[in-house]
Amino acid sequence: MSNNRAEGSGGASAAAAPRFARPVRGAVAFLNGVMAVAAAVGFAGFAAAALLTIADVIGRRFGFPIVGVVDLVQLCVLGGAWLVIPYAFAKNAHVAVDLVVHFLPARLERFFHVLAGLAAAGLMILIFRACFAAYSQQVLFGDRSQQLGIPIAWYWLPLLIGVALSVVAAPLSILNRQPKAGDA
Amino acid sequence: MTPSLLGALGFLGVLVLIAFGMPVAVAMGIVGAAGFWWMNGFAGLTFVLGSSPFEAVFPYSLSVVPLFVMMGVFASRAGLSRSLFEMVTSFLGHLRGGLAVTSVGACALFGAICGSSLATVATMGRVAIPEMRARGYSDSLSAASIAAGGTLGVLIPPSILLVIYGILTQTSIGQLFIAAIVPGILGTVLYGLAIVAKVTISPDLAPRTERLSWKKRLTALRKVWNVLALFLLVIGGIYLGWFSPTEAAAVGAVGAFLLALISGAMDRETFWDAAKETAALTGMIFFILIGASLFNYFLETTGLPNALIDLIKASGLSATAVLFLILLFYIVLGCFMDSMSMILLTVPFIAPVAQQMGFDPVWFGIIVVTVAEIGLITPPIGMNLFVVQTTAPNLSQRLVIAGILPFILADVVRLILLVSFPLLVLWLPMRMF
Repeated sequence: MSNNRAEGSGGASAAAAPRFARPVRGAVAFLNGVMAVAAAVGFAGFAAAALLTIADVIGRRFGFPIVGVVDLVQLCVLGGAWLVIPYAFAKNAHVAVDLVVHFLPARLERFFHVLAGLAAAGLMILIFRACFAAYSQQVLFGDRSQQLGIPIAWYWLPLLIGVALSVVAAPLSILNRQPKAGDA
Repeated sequence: MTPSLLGALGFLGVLVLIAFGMPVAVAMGIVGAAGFWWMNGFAGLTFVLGSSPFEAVFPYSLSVVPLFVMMGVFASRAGLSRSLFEMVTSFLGHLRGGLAVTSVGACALFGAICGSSLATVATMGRVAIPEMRARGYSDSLSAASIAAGGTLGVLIPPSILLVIYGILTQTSIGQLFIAAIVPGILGTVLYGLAIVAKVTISPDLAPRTERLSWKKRLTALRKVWNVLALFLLVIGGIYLGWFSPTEAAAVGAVGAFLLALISGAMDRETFWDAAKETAALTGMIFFILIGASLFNYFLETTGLPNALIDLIKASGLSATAVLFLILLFYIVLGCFMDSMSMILLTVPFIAPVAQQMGFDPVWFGIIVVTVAEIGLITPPIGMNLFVVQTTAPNLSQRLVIAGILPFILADVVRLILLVSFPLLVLWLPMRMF
């Protein structure tokens, strides 16, 4: 079974609510809110990419193309992509399979889910460490985009924010997971 | 241990992690990172981890991913998927298995305005599976028909995979889109026949339902004018040279949003839900791209794909035999990798081989994408099998897999037809270009 359970609006914090003490519930709700805000900004990036493209398509028919539209669309899409990834973690939207764990007792299934969440967090920590080094290099070298001369480091900022949020969102997915029948 | 063997063990490692519930992208990322560390040391790993998350998402051409997803989500919110389903149901729903055939047909039509297999499955599943459940259809048949029908969105233009193939091989994306139309229709018909065959053997899977009057059919037909308008806007705009296929995704997204707005379906809450759905689906797809990128770095280091390709090139076999081997290679690879990363990884190496063998690049592109489609519904990690589960409660992976075999057989028949009769692919582009 895929663990994609992104449908429940606000379901994540609500699902977690009855199972934890109030301070934990508050922290989980706050973090889910942060991921939702990041996702909203990411979506806005995609929408901006679409509108910029449309404006360029229409504008160039009248001799007024948007200068540097490729640079801007790339910035919007890259930034958007990394800002929605933590939300997908928090909502357990990343695709997983239950070919084996489906047959395991609920506690063991939960154990593997916790393990997957922690492994994902570990991977994201490694990625953050490496990407931060790459970002520092970009700042040092001062590389710029081809059309508008946008500092490449700007492209890395939403990526770093997204990776950092994913470090938090991966374990958050464990807390947000809907308990199945028999789950402790 | 040879590097190629290590690569093969990496494949197995990913499968084991996936089987124990690890998200596909995380499994590919972790095995890719660990394998790359083993082969190149920590400094090499740091370089890959510091570049891959950027490079996997940076290409301009990938802007089609969130925009086609957005288009699909808005189209869904505008009720286009339901209108399509109701229209086809009004004509075919009364036949035994008719709702499943309807679902496949609606998936094909929706794929034409959506371009994303995952979005098609996610959208049509939510509309069609509850309807089929309510009318006593088996979950296995319902879910499998949606999962299979969704693959048609990969082929029927606009198609994200065809755009990627066109970019990689410098093939005309316009010709690829036109060439995909007949194979897409053929796939729809063959899926329909697979359903008819299945319910003929097991009538209990799909009870008959009432036949609708012609008046109701025409009413349902009138409701889908907006789908036609959006399709004509996206595809027609490409052929008239108004915009590129990549830009068409933006036109489609904004067009679908406007349709939702005009239809009155788009209030503030619906818009926020659509934004969240787009975010979750896009985040999932992009993270798979990143995980696949990490894993592919490792695979390239091991030389496993090249070892397989060298084997094909050095075989001295006839063009037909080489084609058979290439197809086999893709089908096997498709069992373990998602179609997009499979195409990204292999086409730069396989396309020159195909060219050497004298295969037409447009025809070969359609064949490759058709095989990649099969991978979307092939266990153990066919993406559509997972996505369809998210569209209805209490739908298990086993049930979906149990129902998918007839559709895989239909795909194999389609592949044989397309390979045996290349004109099925090339006739239309030859007449138009």
